[in-house]
Amino acid sequence: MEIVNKLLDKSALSALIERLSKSGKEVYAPVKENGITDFAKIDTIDTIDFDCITTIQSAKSLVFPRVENILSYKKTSEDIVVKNVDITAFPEVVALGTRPCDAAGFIPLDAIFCTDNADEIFNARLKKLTIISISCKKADEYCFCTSVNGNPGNTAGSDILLTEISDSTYFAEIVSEKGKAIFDANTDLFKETAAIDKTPHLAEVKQEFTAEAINEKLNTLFESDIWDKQSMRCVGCGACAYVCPACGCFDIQDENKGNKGIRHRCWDSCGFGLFTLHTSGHNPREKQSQRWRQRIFHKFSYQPVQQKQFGCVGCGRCSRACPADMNIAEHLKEIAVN
Amino acid sequence: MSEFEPKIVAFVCNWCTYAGADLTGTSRIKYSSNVRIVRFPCTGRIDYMLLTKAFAGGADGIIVSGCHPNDCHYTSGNFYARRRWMVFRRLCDFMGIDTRRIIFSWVSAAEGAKWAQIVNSANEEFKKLGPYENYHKLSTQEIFE
Amino acid sequence: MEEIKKIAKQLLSENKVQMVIGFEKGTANKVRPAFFTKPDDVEKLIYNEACIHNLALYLKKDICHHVSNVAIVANPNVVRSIIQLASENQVKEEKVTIIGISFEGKSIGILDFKAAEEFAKTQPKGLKPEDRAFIEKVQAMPMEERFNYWVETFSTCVKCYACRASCPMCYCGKCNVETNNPQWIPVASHKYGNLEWHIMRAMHLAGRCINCGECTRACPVDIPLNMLSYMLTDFVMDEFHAEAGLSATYAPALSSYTNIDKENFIK
Ligand code: SF4
Ligand code: SF4
Ligand code: SF4
Ligand code: SF4
Repeated sequence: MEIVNKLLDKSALSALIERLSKSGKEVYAPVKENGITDFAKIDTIDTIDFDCITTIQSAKSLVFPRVENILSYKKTSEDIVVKNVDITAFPEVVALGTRPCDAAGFIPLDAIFCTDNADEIFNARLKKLTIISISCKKADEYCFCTSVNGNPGNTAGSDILLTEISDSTYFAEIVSEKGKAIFDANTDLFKETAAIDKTPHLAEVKQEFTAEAINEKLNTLFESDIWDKQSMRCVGCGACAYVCPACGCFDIQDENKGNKGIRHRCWDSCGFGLFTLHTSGHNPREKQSQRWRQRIFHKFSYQPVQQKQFGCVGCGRCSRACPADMNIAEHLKEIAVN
Repeated sequence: MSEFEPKIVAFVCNWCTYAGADLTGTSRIKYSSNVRIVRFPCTGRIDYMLLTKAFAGGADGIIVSGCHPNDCHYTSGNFYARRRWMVFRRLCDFMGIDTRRIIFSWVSAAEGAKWAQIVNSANEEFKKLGPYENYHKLSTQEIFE
Repeated sequence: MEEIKKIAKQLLSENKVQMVIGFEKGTANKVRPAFFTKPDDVEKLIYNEACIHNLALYLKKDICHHVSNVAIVANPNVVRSIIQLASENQVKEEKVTIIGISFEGKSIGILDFKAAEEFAKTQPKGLKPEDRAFIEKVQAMPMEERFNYWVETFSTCVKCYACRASCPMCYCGKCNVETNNPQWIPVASHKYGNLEWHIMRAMHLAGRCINCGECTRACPVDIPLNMLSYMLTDFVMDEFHAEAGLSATYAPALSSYTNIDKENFIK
């Protein structure tokens, strides 16, 4: 679909949010609570934290929750009854105020969940998700979207992209059919406009390297000691993977009580030692440096081959969340010049 | 409607309280039948997470019991346990887990009558408190029908 | 800072240690843990008021396994952690060189374990007023509300285990949450799984936590989980007159006992 350009006043955005939530859609947006900003359900524009650069956690939990039930089972005297989760019951969700990098993050995530088999549950959720992003006016020292094929006004992954062009107005780009559906139902809120050059309204993020260059470099770096050096301070937690919009690893767990139980899908991370531990006791990635290497290789070498997508959108969340200040942009730059 | 019968789980050590409970039986002393006894080698082995598991599993009250001080079959298991229980009780209290529902006792192999009395009074106490729901509910809300 | 650098450089060039654990400049105005193996590297070492990470945790990570002697830039929290680790037989005096830093950020030279104990004893101890106020506020809630408070507080925990990974006292080769035969603590980060995880961790830290706050600092979603172990530290001090990180030879409070411990709650 060709991008359609419109204008949306802030007051109209406020009305749009109210209409969307009244129509039964769940609207999620960045909300500041207890000092940190994360996506939360809203029904009015007043609770949105427009100022934050990125939320601590990405918006991925809207399609890939940190714990989700995939089936339940029950043993009766005759039989074992298994009930799959009802994927038709998922709500219609609108993610509002995602950043272009958040929106772009759904692309590699989708690619992971559609390798070989399309994951039914994931896709059912994704189908019901509409993404209304807001371009970035500010960036911080962790942002590096421009180095991984993104930019602060990138439309990829969004259904509608809003760019603040004045204190009262957004330039709205209707990117996809889903975006168009929202537009069509609310045409009265949008105004006509010619195409607008967004650049003056966007943050500046300097390009430091290219994802392709990293990909190229990695071909010869598997045995390099760079991984040991870079990961010395890594403490081996899962913070980076859990806040990342593009990390899709999960673990399947059963929990039961008496004669009934449930099967969950829960987030997992390649940073944990347990992630690759075999039953025999052997661990193919027994050192933290091997796990760090996996993180970089998966995103910049394996995913481009398997899914034709880079697994990083440059949001910098992992670096902000890291207790040991592992700065991925800095590490990638080091790899690029290696 | 029938009267509320609390579900009680008793975590006891093999050498004293379990033998004591045995004696209660062989002496034909009657006591509340709604207690399930779980036998451990020593009170020192009774992990506090087992107590939360019991609550999660629907227990309304818990009894933890073992050898009197200086009587531990392994010399000092109950001393370590005693400290741990103090700390655990404090933590439970701080976290809003009902400590009135965890009763600790020393019951030796010769105290069959004491065991009956501990269980009966615990039963009365738990009856008064009513069903314990919040921990159990929390643990089952994830498991739908 | 120059003094710290001088000591670090000397230790490395005389090959008394093969690695110095300290700080270097991090992203923007942050600092980050750094590992110096050559005397020239030490130029990058910095120390300022942002250097609050508890570096002692690295003594138990695999990077230290193959190093026979390490030196560590140690503020009072790090010193106490090392002493605590020593009392749990986790570090050996001959392997670790403590470069002591006072509460005010001044180098106080190399400390052996004896001197480190003395130093630790003189440092401010116990709960900070704001922590005490927090604990008292929670304690004042009715029981039901207290329970719900913690359930809600922990409901945002994503189980990334950054708290555990950043805690020097959480050095277990296999953490209890990884005990999966049977599964001891639910893996899922739902409310129940989170509550059990935090109860378990708080109990493991009771009498061992040295109140450095590293766990909460590491937490990406700012959960005040340190309040549980702080509260227990305080309780352990009151009840058993034992405090973590002051003696390299005494066993931690919960790995010891006296025969006069209170038992008024036991029937
Ligand atoms: S890179 Fe940072 S956030 Fe990721 S595992 Fe290592 S310490 Fe944790
Ligand atoms: S790897 Fe880091 S910078 Fe890249 S998408 Fe994930 S969280 Fe963002
Ligand atoms: S939580 Fe407990 S078992 Fe896990 S690492 Fe910490 S002390 Fe060890
Ligand atoms: S660091 Fe925070 S989110 Fe991660 S496991 Fe600990 S409390 Fe939970």
